Amino acid sequence: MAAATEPLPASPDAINDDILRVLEPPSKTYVLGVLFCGALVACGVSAFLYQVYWGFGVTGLNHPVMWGLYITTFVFWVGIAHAGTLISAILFLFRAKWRNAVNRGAEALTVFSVLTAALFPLLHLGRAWKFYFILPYPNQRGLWVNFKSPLLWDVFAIGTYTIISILFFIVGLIPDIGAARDRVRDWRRHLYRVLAMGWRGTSEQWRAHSRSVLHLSGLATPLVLSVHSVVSWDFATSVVPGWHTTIFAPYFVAGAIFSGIAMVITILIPVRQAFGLQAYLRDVHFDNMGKLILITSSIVGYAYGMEYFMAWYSANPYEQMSFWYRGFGHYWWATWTMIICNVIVPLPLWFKRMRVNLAFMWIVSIFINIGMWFERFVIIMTSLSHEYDPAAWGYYFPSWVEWTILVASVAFVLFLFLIFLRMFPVIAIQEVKELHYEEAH
Amino acid sequence: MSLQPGALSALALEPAELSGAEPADLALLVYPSLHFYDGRGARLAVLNEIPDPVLKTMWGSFAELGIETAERLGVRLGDVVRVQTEAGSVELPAFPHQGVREGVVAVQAGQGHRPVDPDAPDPDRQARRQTIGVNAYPLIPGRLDAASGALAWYSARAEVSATGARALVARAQIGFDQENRGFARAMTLAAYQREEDPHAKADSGHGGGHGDGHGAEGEDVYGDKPLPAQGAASHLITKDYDPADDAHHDSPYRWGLNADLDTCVGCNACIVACAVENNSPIVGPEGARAGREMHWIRVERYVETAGVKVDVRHAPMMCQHCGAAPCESVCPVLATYHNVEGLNVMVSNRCIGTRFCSNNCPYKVRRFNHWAYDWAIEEPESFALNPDVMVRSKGVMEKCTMCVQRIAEGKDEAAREGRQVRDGDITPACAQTCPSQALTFGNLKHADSHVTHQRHDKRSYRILEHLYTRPGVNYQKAILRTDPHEA
Repeated sequence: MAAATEPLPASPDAINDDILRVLEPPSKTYVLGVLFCGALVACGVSAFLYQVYWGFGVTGLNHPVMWGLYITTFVFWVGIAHAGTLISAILFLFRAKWRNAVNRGAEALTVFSVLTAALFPLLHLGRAWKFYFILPYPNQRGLWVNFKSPLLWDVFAIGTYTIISILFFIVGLIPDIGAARDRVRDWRRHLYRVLAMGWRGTSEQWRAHSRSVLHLSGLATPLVLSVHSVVSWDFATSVVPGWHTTIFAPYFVAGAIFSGIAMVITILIPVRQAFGLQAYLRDVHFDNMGKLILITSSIVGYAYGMEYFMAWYSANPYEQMSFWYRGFGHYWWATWTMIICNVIVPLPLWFKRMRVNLAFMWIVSIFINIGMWFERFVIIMTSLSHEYDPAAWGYYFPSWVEWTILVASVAFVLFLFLIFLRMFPVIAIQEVKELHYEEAH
Repeated sequence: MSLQPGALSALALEPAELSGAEPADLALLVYPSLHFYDGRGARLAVLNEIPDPVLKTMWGSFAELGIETAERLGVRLGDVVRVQTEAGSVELPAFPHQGVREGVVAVQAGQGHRPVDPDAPDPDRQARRQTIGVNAYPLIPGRLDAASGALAWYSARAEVSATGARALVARAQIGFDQENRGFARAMTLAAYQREEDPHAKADSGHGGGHGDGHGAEGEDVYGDKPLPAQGAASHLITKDYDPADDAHHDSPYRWGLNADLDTCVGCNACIVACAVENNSPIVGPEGARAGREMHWIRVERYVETAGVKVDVRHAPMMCQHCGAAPCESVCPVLATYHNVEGLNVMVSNRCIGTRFCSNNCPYKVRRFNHWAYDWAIEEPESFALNPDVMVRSKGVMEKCTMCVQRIAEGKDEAAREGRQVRDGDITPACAQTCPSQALTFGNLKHADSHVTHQRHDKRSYRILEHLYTRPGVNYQKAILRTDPHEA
C-alpha cells in the first residue's frame, strides 16, 4: 500500500455510516442540480425531436462532411466508458488494491456514459425511426444486415459492452445494497429489497459474489481493449486519408482510458468534497490515477506524432495533404487545442506534488476532457473536409441543434450520476472494509 | 465560303467609345449568361441551381473583377459592391478571378427578376419568393451600336465601390487547383502521336493519381508545378483488373461510362439533364450555400497554369460504379450493393442514413437528403416529375444510378425483340444531353462496344484508380495542341 495521508475511519461501522450518509435526504443544492440537468436533457430531447421532424438540414452537416458532432460525441462517451471497466476489472485482476474506493464511481460513470454513447449513433441516423433496420433479427421484410460494415460491428461491440458493464455494476452493488436495505427506511427500501436479491451476507453468498466478480472481470477485461478498437475501425477501415491507418486501435484505446480516467477525476473530486469522503478517496488514488493519465497521455502524444511521421514517410500525397490541413488548415484551432490539452497540460503530473494536488488534478482533468473531445472532432472533421477530390473540399461547423444535444448529453450523464449518488453507495463498502481489515492487521 | 483575312477591317469597326465618369473607372461588360441567356431561362430553379461553368457559383449575380483590379479596389470575394454607371447602379457581391481582364467589371445578364405571379395559389409561398441576383440591364446606357444598329452592350464605364456589406456566395467548387491529383489529365498532341501501342497504358498498373509521368511517352501535363511526390509515390500502384469481372459471370452486361475530357466543354448541361431525369430536388440558395446541392453529376473545373499559358480542364464527376466500391462495404443495412450488371445500386428505401457511404466515397458523389425536399412538391408541380424514378424523402442517401430506369427500359425493349442490348440502345440522360458527345454509355463486357474501345484508347485513364476501386467510369485525357512547358 502506498502511504496514505489521512487515516482510515476507526471501525467498520463508521465506514457504513460515512458512506451510507450520502443516501440521506438531499440538500436543496442537490435537488436544484438534478432539476438543472434534467432541464438541459429536456432541451436536448426537444432538439432531437426538432431534427427528426425537419431532417438533418437543421445540423451543420453538408457535403462532404457527413459526420459531425454526433459521432465526435459518441466516440467521446465510449471513451469515457472505459475507465470504469479498466479500474474495476483489469485493476481487480492485477490486485491493485487502491482501486477499491474509486471503482464504484468509475463503474457508474461507465454505465452512464456507455448508455449515453449508445444514443448517439441512433440520433445521428438520417432516419432514426428506422434504427431497427440495423439489428439482425428474422423479419418478414426479408431485411438482413451487412456484417462487413464496421457500423454493424459497433452495434455488437457497444451492445456487449453495455450488457457486461451493467452486469458488473449490479453484481458489485449487491452487498452494499444489502447494507443500504438494512439502513434506509423510506420508499427506496422496496427497491433495495429487489436489487439485493436476498443478500444476507452469509459466507456462501460472499463466496459466490467474489467468484462472480472475478469471472465478470475476466469477461470485461478483453472488452476494454475490444470496444474502442472496434469503434476505431469505423474510421480505420475506410479509405479516407487521415482515418485509414493501423495505429487507430491502440491509439483509440489509450485515448479512451486517458479520457475515462480524466472524467473519473473530474467527477470524484467534487463528490469527495461535497460528501466528506476524504478518508476514502485519498492521495493514493489520485496519485495512481495521475500515473495512468501520464502513461496514456504519452501514448496518445506518441500517436499524434506517429500519424504525422507516417503521413510524411508514406510519401502518400493525399495523406500528407490531410495532415498538413489538420495542423494548419481551417481546423488548426481544434488541432492545437487537442495537442495542448492532451500532451502539454498533463506534463506537470510527472511530479508527485502535482498529482496529489487535487485542485490542480481537477483542472488538468477538465482540460483532458476538452482535449479528448477535440481529438475526435479533429480526426473526423479535418479528414472528411479535405479528402481526395479537391473539387469536393468543404467545411463544417456545428449548428445550435448539435451543440444543444452535446450539452444535453453531458447533462444526461451528470443527471444519472447525481441520482445514482443518492440511490446507491458511491463507494464500495465491502471493499473498503476489506482494505481496512488488511491495514489494521 | 470563308472569311478572308482583312475582310473584317473593311467594316471599319471602331473600338467602342466608353462613356463614364472617370477614365480610371472600369469598363463594364454585361454579357449573356450561359444558363439564362438574356434572362429567358431565369424562371427555372434548376438552371439557377447548376453552377456557373466558370465561377462555379449558384443562385445569384456577381461582379466579376480581375485579381489586381479587386486588390486595387480593396474588394474581396463576397464583398457587396455598388456598380454605378451613368445609366444606373446595382449592388451585388464581388467575385474576383483570373478569368477577367484587369480594368473590367463583368456582370452576367439575365437575372434579377421580381417573381410576381398574381395567380399564385398560396400567398405565403408567393411572399417567400426572393429576387435572385440583380438585373444588369439598367447599367447599360442604351445607345445603339453604329455599325449594327443594335444595342451597344459594351458602351459604359462603371464605378465600382465597396458598400461594406458582405454576402454569402453559394459555390459548388472552391479551389480550381487539382493538387497534382490527376483528376483532369491531358497529354500533348505530340505525345499522343508518338505513342504507338494503344494498349500500353490501358488497364495497366500505373500510378493512379500521380501516375503516368514516369516516361516521356504519353506523359500527363500537370502544369508547371513540380511533381513532388511523383517518384516517391510510385508505390501507389494499381493492380490489374478487368472491369468486365465486376458483373456477375452470367450477366451479359457490365455497364460503364466514358467521359472524354477533350470534348467536354464544361457547359453543365449534363447536370440539368440528370436533375430533370432523376427528380433531383432543388435545394435553393440556402441549401446551395450550405453545400447541400443534390446533383448526381458535377463538372469539376481545374485550371493549370504553365507560365503565361492557362489550361482549363473539365472533368464530369458522377458515381464511378466501382467494381470494389468503398461505399458498399460500409453500409450496415445493405442499402447500397453491387448488382449483377456491375452497377453500384442505391436502395434509398432501405437507407437509414448513417452516411458512412458518403464519407467513404473517394469521389464524393453521394448526396444526402438533408430536408424533406418532397414536401415542397404540390399538385401541379408533381406532374413535372419523372414517373420512372422515385422521389426520395429526408434522411436517405442517393446518387447516380447510370439511369437504371433507362437501362431497364432498354433491356425490356431488347427482350421483346428477343436479343441482347446493343450498343447505343441505352443512353443515360447526361450522355443524351451532352452537346459535344463527351459522355458515352455502354457495355464493358462487350469487346466491341464503344466504351470498351474508349477504355483501351491511349488517352484512357481512371480517377483514383490506385485505391483499387475498379471504377466503371473511364476518362480520356484532353489533348493539348502545344506543350505548355515549351510555349
